[in-house]
Amino acid sequence: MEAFDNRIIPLEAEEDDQFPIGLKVLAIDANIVCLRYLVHLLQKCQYKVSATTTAEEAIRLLNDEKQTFDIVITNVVRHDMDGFKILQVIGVGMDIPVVMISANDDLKMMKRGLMEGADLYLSKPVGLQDLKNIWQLALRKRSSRKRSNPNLSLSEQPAVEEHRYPIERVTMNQDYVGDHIINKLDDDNDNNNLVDSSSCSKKRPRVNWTKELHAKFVEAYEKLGEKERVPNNILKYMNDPRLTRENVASHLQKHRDTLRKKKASGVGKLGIQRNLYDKNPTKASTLYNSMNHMNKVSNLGPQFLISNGQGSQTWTTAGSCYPVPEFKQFNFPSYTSTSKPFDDDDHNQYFLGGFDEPINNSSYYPSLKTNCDFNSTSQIFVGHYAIENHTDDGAGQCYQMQFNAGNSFESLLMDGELSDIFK
Amino acid sequence: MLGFRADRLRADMNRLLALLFHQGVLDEQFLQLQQLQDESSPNFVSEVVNIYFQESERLLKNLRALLIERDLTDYKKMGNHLNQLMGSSSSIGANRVRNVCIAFRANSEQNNRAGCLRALEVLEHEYCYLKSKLHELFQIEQQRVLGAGVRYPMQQN
Repeated sequence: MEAFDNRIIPLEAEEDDQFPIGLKVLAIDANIVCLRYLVHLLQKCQYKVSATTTAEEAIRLLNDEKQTFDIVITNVVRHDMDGFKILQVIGVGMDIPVVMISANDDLKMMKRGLMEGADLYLSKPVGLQDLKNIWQLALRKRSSRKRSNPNLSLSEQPAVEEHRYPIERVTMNQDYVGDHIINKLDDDNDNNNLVDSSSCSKKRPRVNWTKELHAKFVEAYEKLGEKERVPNNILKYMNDPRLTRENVASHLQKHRDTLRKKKASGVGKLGIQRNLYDKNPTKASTLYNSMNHMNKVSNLGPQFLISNGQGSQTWTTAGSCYPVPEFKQFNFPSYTSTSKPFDDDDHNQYFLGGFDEPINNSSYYPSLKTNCDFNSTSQIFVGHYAIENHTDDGAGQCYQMQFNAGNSFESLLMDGELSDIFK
Repeated sequence: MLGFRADRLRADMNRLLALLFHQGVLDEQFLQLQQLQDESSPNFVSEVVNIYFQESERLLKNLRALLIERDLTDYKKMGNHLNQLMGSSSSIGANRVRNVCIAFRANSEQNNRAGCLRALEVLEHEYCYLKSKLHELFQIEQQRVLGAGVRYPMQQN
């Protein structure tokens, strides 16, 4: 172990002096608002930042020999090149640590990202503290690179491979990730002795069950009758040179399992999706869950009371309320509306009632006309938009908003079906 | 007396902010944004927020266009737009807008057109409210900055 330690610690003098200041980061995000914010955060950490919204530009920058990057931050959901593909190209191809960020904090995606080689997966909004620590990933990568130096004895190389192991995963259909990984583990144990550190990427060509391929498979599966759904027939039907009989066989088995599960649960994909949202840790969904418990006052946030013409009403919640301790003691002066969201109607107003001093000084606030150029249909719904008090103070910190109902065939209002989704 | 007007403005701004926090329109992320603003980037918040407005309006228009299409409603594209809107809203701390997006996304994943339309209405509404309040905030801020440059007391009111 001592020999091990000695090798890691002395980094070259030039790069070490200021580290982690001056860490070279490449930031990629299709969303320009997030990108701006991210860049600013990184600059605050005193990193050297390059940023782009397109994957193409990013790869060009990475291939540019004049600059090397220590770390790449990319977002996941993109229209040009999928974030997972970027992960492959950069993480595997160029061996640079990749941090993934996403607005979507879906656990499955996070796991997938990590299994496919991301060094870190963050949810938006990214915080300064998260970014302050990413230099650790770059440091680890650097030292592992030093370790896989050819001067090392052969016995130490498997350690490197295990570190690199998760990177070899090829993108695959979410449903099948778990099983494929297990298969891979078995393969590798056989091949371990034959591999040296530089070529551990391709041990065996893996079948990438892309959506198209899977669609072809399903087509074949359905075209063939019950008795004929054997791997050989399916293989012939699909006529794809990448596949072997074994690939098809294992995929067939999984497909059958998922079909069986779907039948068993009876609800199908819908059921699965509902569960996804139950696990969703955002405040919104937990509020929707507690929709029926309106008596739990604290932090309930704004609620919609929707009534349709026939007089029946249901409550649903939208939005959450953050506990903001520093503002709790505030007594807000009343705001009569000087700014209306919809320029036209008189009906749409905000009533912010029950405060002490009015602050409608038009000398301070020239009335604002905000032009929201939306082609709104006439369909709006009646709502009582109430916010619970933080303090049960008679002076009332209760805001109400009303907006009018329009007549439209779509005015089946927020009812059981929508609230079901929020459970 | 010199700073009276400036103090008043600052108090107004704080009140407005407090209101928005209380309503859940903004969350702590907005404070983070403000903290990032310093001498080297004095207009950071308003720049980012203005970009946010532009982007969001574009996305909302697209969403509206997608939903109006009766026959082939492209829910996947809607999901992408929503994802973008969620990301940018969460980055600037637009809490309520983001929450409506989550509900909207649930609807689009269920291919529930009616639900999507409703959610879109709410979304547009929330967005407008946010935009108008933030405009107010920036106006106050501008006045404060302008006022701070004046060396002699101006006439009150």
